[in-house]
Amino acid sequence: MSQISCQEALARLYELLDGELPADHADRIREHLERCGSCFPSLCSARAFQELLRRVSRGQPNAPPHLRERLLDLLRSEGLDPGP
Amino acid sequence: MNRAESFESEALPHLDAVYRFALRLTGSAADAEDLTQETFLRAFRAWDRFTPGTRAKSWLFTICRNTFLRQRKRESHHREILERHTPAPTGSAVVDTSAVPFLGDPVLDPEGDFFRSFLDRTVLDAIDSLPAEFREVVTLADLEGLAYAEIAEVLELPVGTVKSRLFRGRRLLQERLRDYAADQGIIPAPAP
Repeated sequence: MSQISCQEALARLYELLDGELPADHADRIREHLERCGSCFPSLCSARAFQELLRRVSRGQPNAPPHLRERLLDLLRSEGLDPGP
Repeated sequence: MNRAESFESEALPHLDAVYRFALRLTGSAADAEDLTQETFLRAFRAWDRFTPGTRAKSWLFTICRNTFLRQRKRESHHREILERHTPAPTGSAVVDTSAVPFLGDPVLDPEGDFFRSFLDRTVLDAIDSLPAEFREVVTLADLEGLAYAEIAEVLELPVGTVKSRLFRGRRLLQERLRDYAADQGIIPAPAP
């Protein structure tokens, strides 16, 4: 097992999943979380939670077409290129 | 590339993202449309101040949030004035909002078909129920995929504060979803 403590690994869990850790640090944290019996369930649960939010995010609505048209009209009246 | 062209190629592609962020801030499709429109108009007028090469998305989110906060401040000021000068309604003058269909209900809103599934609705409701300081970071990180540094820029906070709010916000969101699942009998309720 690496020198990373459970406390540190769990504190960095979301930074790891968010891709916010430098590569070498991320590797050591990931290794601990994947190999440690008491930390592994937290990793699985955080991954599942993040996956759920990604799915919800993908299902989010886009701007309605009438808003896009209205906005483009307004921007054109302020000097935006009319476009094709 | 002139000013208008660069705005069109760098800012306009983020229209959908800004609209979604505005939806989470305002909680209603109609208000989100107005806020999005105002955001892009302000952004276009201030486009000369945008630094090329930086992320236009977080710049637009900053304008969107500041516009929203300013509007809310103005509205609460107006409300205070109204409350001070309007006698409290009594008897039949009291409007029963439950009798007005769709009023203030984003689920029954005519545009409401954008919530694709019950589960999505549940998660979004749980996010909307978070205190504003947590709702903002969770929305920007988990729904819009902004990096910590970008969130810090939008919210004008140190990265360390973003990190700790995100940690607490996600924990709170998980607790609310767990409570909901227990209430619905999806998972066993925790022992009293």
